[in-house]
Amino acid sequence: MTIKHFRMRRLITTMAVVVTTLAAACGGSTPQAVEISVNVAGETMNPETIRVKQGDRVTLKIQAEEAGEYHLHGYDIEQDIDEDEVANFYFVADATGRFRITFHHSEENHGEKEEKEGGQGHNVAEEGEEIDIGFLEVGPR
Amino acid sequence: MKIRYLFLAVFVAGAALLCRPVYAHGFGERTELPVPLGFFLIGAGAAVGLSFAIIGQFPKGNPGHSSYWRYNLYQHRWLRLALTSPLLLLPLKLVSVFLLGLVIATGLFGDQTPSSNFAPTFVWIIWWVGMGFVVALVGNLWTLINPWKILFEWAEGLYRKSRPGSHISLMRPYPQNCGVWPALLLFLSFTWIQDAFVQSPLPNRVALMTMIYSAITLGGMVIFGKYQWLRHGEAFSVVFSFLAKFAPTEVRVRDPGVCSSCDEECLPPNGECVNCYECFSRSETKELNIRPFAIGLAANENKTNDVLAMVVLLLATVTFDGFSATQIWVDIQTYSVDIFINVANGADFNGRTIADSLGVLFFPVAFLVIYLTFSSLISGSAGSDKSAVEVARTFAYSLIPIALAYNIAHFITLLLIQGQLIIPLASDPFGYGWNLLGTEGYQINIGVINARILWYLSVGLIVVGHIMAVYLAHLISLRTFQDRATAISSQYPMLMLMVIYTVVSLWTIAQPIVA
Repeated sequence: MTIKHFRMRRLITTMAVVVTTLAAACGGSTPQAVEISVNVAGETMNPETIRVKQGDRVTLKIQAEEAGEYHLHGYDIEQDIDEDEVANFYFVADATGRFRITFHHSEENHGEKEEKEGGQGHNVAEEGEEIDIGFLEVGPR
Repeated sequence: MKIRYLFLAVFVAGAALLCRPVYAHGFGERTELPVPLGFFLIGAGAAVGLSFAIIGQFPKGNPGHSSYWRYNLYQHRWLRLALTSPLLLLPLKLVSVFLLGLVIATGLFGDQTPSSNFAPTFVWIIWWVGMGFVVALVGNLWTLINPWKILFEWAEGLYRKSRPGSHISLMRPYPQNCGVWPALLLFLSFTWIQDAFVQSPLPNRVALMTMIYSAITLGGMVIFGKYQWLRHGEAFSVVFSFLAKFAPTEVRVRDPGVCSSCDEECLPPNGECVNCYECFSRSETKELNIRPFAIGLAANENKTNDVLAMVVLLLATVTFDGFSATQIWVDIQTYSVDIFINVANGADFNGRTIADSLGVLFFPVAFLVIYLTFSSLISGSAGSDKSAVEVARTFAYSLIPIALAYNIAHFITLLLIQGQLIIPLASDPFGYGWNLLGTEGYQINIGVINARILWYLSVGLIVVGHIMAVYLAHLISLRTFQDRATAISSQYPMLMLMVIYTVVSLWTIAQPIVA
């Protein structure tokens, strides 16, 4: 019984060591709070691709030359940003993947559209042409 | 009264078609991260290394006959009764026909924002991507739930009740030299709509496309008979029948009498009648077998040039769909927009459309040229007197696993993430704000599968697909050429072609998706 027991324990210890080593090797760093400044000039973002790691608590400080609505897809954060205003997009990067960041010009005829949509305020933002300005990439940890 | 309704319907349909396109979020919420360089290199290396290992280790036996492990599910009476029971089949059929109607109705009369309408998500993601996966990985479900086939059968049943002994179909003899060309042309149009037509996500376009295709399919069945049209003209029956050869299930008829009276010469040279649904519906001695994956692709069948063309189109389409989202293709599009700025600069038809249209046409042609070149190399290195086209026909199916593996790697994120849209849409198919099933407020879970798992899965699938392809080609070569030495030397060009195809597939999933 003791020998069997001992072997079992050794096996478990070895497995535990292997698993921990693997986890340490793959796991790498722990999630962090990151703050990234983003400038939008014309229809391009600088940097064009924002890269963060899964789990990071991200704040994008977006400064735009042009007033309009800015939208981070997937995480679904949208906000109207005025000229040269800095807006904060805060999110926890739980989901990996590549997400579009788009922009559309402010519509002058907001009221009209809202009527047409039957008061569904959310859909107003979906009108008009979306312009891709960059991407957010959330890599696995 | 009736005329007024008809008028109203036509008016609404017309108005819907004139609406300006509205593109919104909902499509392309999350795309996958490109596979990192390390994964790409390991995948490519594994593909090359394992290819040679397979050829070197190939058993010497006599693979001339194509017998393989099978397990007949119908040998259990209760399973046979359950699987063929109308209690199972009728609801499936009703749902399928209902969904066809729902696509047309929601597309025409629902909200025209693609993400708040049932039709685009259902047709492009759930049905086209999802059905392809099911047919390849489980079996040919399409032949059971093809709504046009069901509608035709119902109509035929009613017609026979009113006029016993007569057919609803005109039963015109199908011109055999047309082969599957009608299906090929229809599938090419479908591919063009998918990859080049800017308005393809618009609900009313999806409905229009569905209506036109329904008319063609039902018309084809009325003119030539149900099975003739399903085998030659119904694009999806033809495409899914190729994918079903990969599947781990098959239907088989062991009744030579039935098969010899089949319209089609469905008996291949080895005398086995597999996946011929016409024979299957008429025979008493039928089997529903479980079999190894991909083995159906090694079947010894007489393939004609139209079948070769269809397979090549399928392979090229899969590759182009991925390639058209890479930076290289976007650069080509931009270049094309500059060239054609004076000719076409509309929102719906511009240089991009021209580039995409050329891509849809050019990729299959380029693919065919490359494949024929390698086929003539195969013929040469085997010292065979077979022509390149003959060799190309013989090995055509063996390339399917690579395309299939790539297709799964390419579309799995779309199906898992974007496909979730069907949950809220099931409650509100028209986008009118209904909440029929209580799922209207469902938010898409964008974190449903982790990128690292997807990378392993994608690269793993493509390498496995490649190994299957090499194995199949080798099996076919042993049957085709007289001795083992010739067969092996014939396989070096084939191996090179497959490595190229696999590496291109891996390269594509290592590119960021930009379009």
